[in-house]
Amino acid sequence: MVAIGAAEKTNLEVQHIAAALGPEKGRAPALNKDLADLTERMKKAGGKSVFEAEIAENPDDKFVNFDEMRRVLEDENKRVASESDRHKKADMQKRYDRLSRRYSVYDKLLNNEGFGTMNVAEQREMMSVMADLPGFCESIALATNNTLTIEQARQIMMGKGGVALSPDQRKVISEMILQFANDGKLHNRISKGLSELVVDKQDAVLSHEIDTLKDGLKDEALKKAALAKVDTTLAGFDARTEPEKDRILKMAEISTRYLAAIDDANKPAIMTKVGVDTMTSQLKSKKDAAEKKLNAAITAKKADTSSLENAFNNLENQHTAASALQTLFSAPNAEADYNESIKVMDAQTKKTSLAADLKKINDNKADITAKEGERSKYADKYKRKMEVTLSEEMKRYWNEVKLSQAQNAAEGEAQKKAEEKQKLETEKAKREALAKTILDKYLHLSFIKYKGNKAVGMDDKALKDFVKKDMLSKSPAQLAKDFLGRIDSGRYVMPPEYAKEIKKMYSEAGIGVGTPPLTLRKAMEEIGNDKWEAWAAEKVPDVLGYAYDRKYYFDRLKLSRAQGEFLKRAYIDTDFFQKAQEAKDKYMKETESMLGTEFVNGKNWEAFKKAMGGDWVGGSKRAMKTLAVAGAIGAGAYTLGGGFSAGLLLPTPHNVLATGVNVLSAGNAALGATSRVGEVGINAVSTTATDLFRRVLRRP
Amino acid sequence: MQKHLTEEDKKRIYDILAEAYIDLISKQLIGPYERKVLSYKILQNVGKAESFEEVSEFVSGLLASYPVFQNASVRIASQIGKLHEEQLIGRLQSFIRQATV
Repeated sequence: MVAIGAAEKTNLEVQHIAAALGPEKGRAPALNKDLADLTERMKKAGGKSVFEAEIAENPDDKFVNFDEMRRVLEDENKRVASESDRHKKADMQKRYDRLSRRYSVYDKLLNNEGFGTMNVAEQREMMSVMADLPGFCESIALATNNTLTIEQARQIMMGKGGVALSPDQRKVISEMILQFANDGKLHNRISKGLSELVVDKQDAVLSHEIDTLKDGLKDEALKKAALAKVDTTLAGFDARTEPEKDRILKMAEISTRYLAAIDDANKPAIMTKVGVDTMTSQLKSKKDAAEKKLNAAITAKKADTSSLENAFNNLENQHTAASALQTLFSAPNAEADYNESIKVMDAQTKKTSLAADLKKINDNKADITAKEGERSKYADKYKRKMEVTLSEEMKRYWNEVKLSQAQNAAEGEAQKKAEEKQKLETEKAKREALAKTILDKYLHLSFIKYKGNKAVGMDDKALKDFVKKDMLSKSPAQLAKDFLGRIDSGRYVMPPEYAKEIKKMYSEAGIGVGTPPLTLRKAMEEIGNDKWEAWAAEKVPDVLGYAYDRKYYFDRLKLSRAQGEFLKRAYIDTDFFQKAQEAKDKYMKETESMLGTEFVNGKNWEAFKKAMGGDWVGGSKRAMKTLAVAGAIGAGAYTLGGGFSAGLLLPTPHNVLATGVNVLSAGNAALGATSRVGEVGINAVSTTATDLFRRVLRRP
Repeated sequence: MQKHLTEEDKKRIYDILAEAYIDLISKQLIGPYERKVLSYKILQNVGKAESFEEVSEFVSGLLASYPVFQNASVRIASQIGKLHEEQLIGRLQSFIRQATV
């Protein structure tokens, strides 16, 4: 398995990664099953069904719980807010901000808004991950034609600044980033990662418990304030002298005891001296009235007087207590003492209660801390996953999608190259075959002179040039090329059928096709030297054969040492002089049959006459020039390589060349002798030839 | 006067839009989430549309976000053009008939 973020694909180069990142550039054809399915559906069931299928429920649909993410974020925010430690709070705030940015990135990526709508900080979240992907910055450098270095690309991706970008560079980079960030496959991966984000159920239980406990904390401040107030009261009391404290405490004790004996209804609203006096006198009146009622009932001898008796006793007790309080309140500072004693007692009661409450709050706090600690295990796991999903999925996407796209591009490119190479080779082979065909068919024809559709003679000048100049100075390969060039430039003076045929062959070979059109010269350059040499080995003797036919052969040739050496080097391994002689026989007959031939209907009779012209003897002599050589060679009058060997056909070119060199050393006089021998030969053969012509001419 | 869209017209519109839509996917210009939303929008809007003009308006809206619908938009507009032409010829014919009576 490929490690996250590692470019381990084989044969992968940055250019392929750049291609995969680029918009529709150099990408291997995407074999997308999904796309194929849609197209198939469109064909079978029409366009509407495409959209209906798209919105149908899909078991593979991933659902990202954005609500839960938001809730976790809110919790985190609360935690930050409630943190009292300044440094810890700053750290937590940073983490919260980061998480919050990630949430926005997910929200914008997955909820249809995309990279373009993110703010700079959010975009930076993604770009900094991209910068670390193997090959990404390298791809940017490559895509900008290395106008940016890899390090500069990294700086830009990391948002470090300091690199000025041209509009073109900016465009390239933004296209690469957008292509990456807005790819559906990446979104799919991120959503898959996020859909696995689930807060543990226990988290909810704990959360509820913590909330309940926190509810109990909300009066802490109030209770603390109340306690402070109580403490102030008690502190004021504590500041008094001991006798004062005793007096007040005693007042508190006695008054509490007496007041406990008095019904609430009878107590005064405010415990003042006047109030106590009033209470006492009122109770006395009530007691007197109750006594009176009781006495009347006793007097009337009522059966049951107990309730009246109880009422009297009660009132009498209350009155006794009130009287005692009246005595107590008659002291000068009694009223103030009483009020203070009430306050102190109240404070003491409150203090006990508040202390208990505050203890409970502290206990709750400890509980909350413990539960939050327990809960943070779940929440942290969630938050961590929420945070790393982006970078992990981007890296996975990079490895599994982009790098494999790049791999495809690399493979596609390699395949394309192989195909192109194969195609080129096929085309080259085809061109070679056609070049050979053209040489085979038209080389001889190119050395013939035409008048309209008729062959009227040989291009003697060209043959002479060939034998006396070209063959002695040009390499065999170059000669073969010249032959093809000759056919090309001479095709328009050939009968139109040939020109047409050659043109057809050119187009088959792809010459004149393409942008820019392929030239013959270019096509010839593609053909290897070995081919040209092989063709030269075949065609040079042929042309030499034509030349023989026209008497441009070596018996009249003066060779310099250099030319001799050249020939020796150029044709050492060929037996082409022998071939040339054979070619001569062949082409002589061909020339004979073609001369004056109407190429369309093949009437050669008229042509023979024309070729000889009005003067019979001169004409026949001209014809002899063509025909005589055959006879001469057949009679052994001439041998290639000159008259020194007179009648001997040397078997190998090496020997011939040796003879050629000998020619040089033998001097001009010897060469002259050879030529005379040649002329004798011609005359001897011409008699036979004339007879032949006469026979031909006598035909009806 | 607007022509009421027939089922056949709608089928043609869906086909044109689906072609553009598949193009959009093949060019990787739309993610899976957006695909659902867009498909839903297209079904809703074309489904309730009663005339070519309404569809055209909707497609023009799509164009703002997805330039790939340009072609579809042009094709739908041409349908409208064709329709207008037919109507114009119809009116001309009735005018000529009236004039010659």
